[in-house]
Amino acid sequence: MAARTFHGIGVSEGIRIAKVFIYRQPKADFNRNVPPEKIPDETKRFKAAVRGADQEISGLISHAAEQVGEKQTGILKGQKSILADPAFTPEIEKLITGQHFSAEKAVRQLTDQFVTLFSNMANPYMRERAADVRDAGNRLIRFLTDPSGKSLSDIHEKVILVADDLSASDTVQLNRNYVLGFATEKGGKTAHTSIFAKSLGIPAVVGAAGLLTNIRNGDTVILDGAKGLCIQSPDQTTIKSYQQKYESEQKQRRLYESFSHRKMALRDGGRVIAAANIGSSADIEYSLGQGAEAAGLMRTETLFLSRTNAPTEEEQFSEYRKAAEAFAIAGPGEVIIRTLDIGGDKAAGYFNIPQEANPFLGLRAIRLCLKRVDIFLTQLRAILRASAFGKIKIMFPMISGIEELRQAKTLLQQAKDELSKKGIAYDQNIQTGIMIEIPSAALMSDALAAEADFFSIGTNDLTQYTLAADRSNQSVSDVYDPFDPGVLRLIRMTAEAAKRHNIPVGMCGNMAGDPVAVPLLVGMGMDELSMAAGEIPKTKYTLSRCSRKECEKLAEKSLHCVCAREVHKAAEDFHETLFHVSNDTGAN
Amino acid sequence: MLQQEFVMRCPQGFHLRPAQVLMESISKFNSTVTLKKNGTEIETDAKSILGLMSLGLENGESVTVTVNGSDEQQAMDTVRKLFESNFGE
Repeated sequence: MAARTFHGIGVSEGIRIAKVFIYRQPKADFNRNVPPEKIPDETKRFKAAVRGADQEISGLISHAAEQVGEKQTGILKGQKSILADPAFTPEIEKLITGQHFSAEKAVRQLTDQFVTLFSNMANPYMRERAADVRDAGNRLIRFLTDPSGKSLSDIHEKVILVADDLSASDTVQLNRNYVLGFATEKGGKTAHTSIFAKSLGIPAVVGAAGLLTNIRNGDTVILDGAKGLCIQSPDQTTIKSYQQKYESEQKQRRLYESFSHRKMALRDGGRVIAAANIGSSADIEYSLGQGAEAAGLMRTETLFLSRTNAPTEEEQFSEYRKAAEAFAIAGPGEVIIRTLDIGGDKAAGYFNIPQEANPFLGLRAIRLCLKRVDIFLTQLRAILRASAFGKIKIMFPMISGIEELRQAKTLLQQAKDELSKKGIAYDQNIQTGIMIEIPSAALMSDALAAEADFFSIGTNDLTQYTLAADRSNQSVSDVYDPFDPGVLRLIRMTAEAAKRHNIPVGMCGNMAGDPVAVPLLVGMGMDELSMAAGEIPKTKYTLSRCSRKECEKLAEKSLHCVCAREVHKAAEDFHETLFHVSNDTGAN
Repeated sequence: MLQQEFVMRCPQGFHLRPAQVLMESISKFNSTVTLKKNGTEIETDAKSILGLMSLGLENGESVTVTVNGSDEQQAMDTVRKLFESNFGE
């Protein structure tokens, strides 16, 4: 077969050559009815799906114990007993024969009925069963729509994953030892999948159209995460040249890694903290391995997604405590926990967010938490309790003005009082800071700095809100540019306000891990850069080659630029000079 | 056919474990066993864990149990023992 190249967006650098594993999310029509004469066939189709799903679960249970551990086995056994339950598949059959529903529609209807029933129960044990019913239903749907489709848990050898898109629940199932990289048809630079790939340090290409109609399971592909390419069935010459690139990349990687366990410092000795953005406690080990001195952003959304009820205080506490302890032992480093940053675009049903025309301008993050005080207080108590086990700071996302900060702090005080009354330990002096990601917050940073203990600039949202360019919309991706001088001036304004009030300022957006941007950011006064862990070694290496004076000069120059293109040019020219230095003295 | 009323005495309500205990103990018998939540129309087959949990029975609420079949006496005795022992909670 002739080689064929698919072009997408490179979201996580690196080259990998391996066989393909195709993953398809099942697509089903949930509105179809069946003509009466077809009902026996539909019933037969449904029964075959039940048998298939049941056999698959049995197979997975025998694998699961050694592959994924006991907890997963329990979940699978729960699914098996649901499939065997007289209130489940027999009732679905009744919907097919009595109401002439298609099997997919019947499965969805009955599953939704139980999920709604269980999710609304007062008893937490019952609420958790809703997820089991949902999973059992999804498995049946997959057997109905794509019986030959494979599930992610079927991967047992080194592969490059090819998919239309990956959801948050897909990515947590990925075995990091086997998935060398991935390519998807959908997604943009800041989509969930991209952030996931970066934090794991595995190469990824997203938004590559045509993958699924052309690539087959078992094809060999080359994945080039820097250029955003996926090359199907490459010829020997191409493989050879990519193998050479792979080797020089690994050599470069080893040079960077020799810096991972040094403290991040400038050539003249000035310090900047190198921190990692983590999505859950599962990312801690990798982050520490890459040389993270702190967790500059611990996201908490994963805990709240793909489930039908909010996580309990205990559940959250155990998650936050793990992070606090791990960084305290390794560092001692701090963990900045960001309170729930979720909105109508991805919030689970239990938040009851009405349909919004513009979820990114709607009820999300701190705005949602100030409305759902029950959920917010539970999270604050869990974070406070974890603060007794390490150094934790609390960070409120999407603050647009001082009133929100004050309200959030009042609730934090309430959570503290509740714990004190019960005699539960927490860090009495816990620091509370805010994300600067809305232009109004940057413009009012002077006032905010008087009442916040620290700032962390979220460049992804700050860029999207400043330039009014949806960061997931490919058609305006040329407008969306964090190097725009408009964005830079807001960053500078924020940093100056922080300095005047003597509070630390950091950055936790994608820009903080971009080696071209890093000297510029340090020049504007960042005390901490928090990035995907895989970027830390390279960032430490880059900074070790610049002096503060050079960085400040670059920042000054950039702030006088009139467009993003000029800033890119200035930053890239500067970066280039660092590489010349590295060729003279580096690689030893 | 036998019929009797029972009151749920589990602090956590009729959650997964008691439901599982009842379902497993009843599945041994040939008789059909149904539970109806008093004051409602909600009724379920006791051999279905999903059905039992759907009752959403909380501590202090009562159910009417109906047993019908060749071994109905033994089945009802089993149900009574479970309710009297509060499902071993």
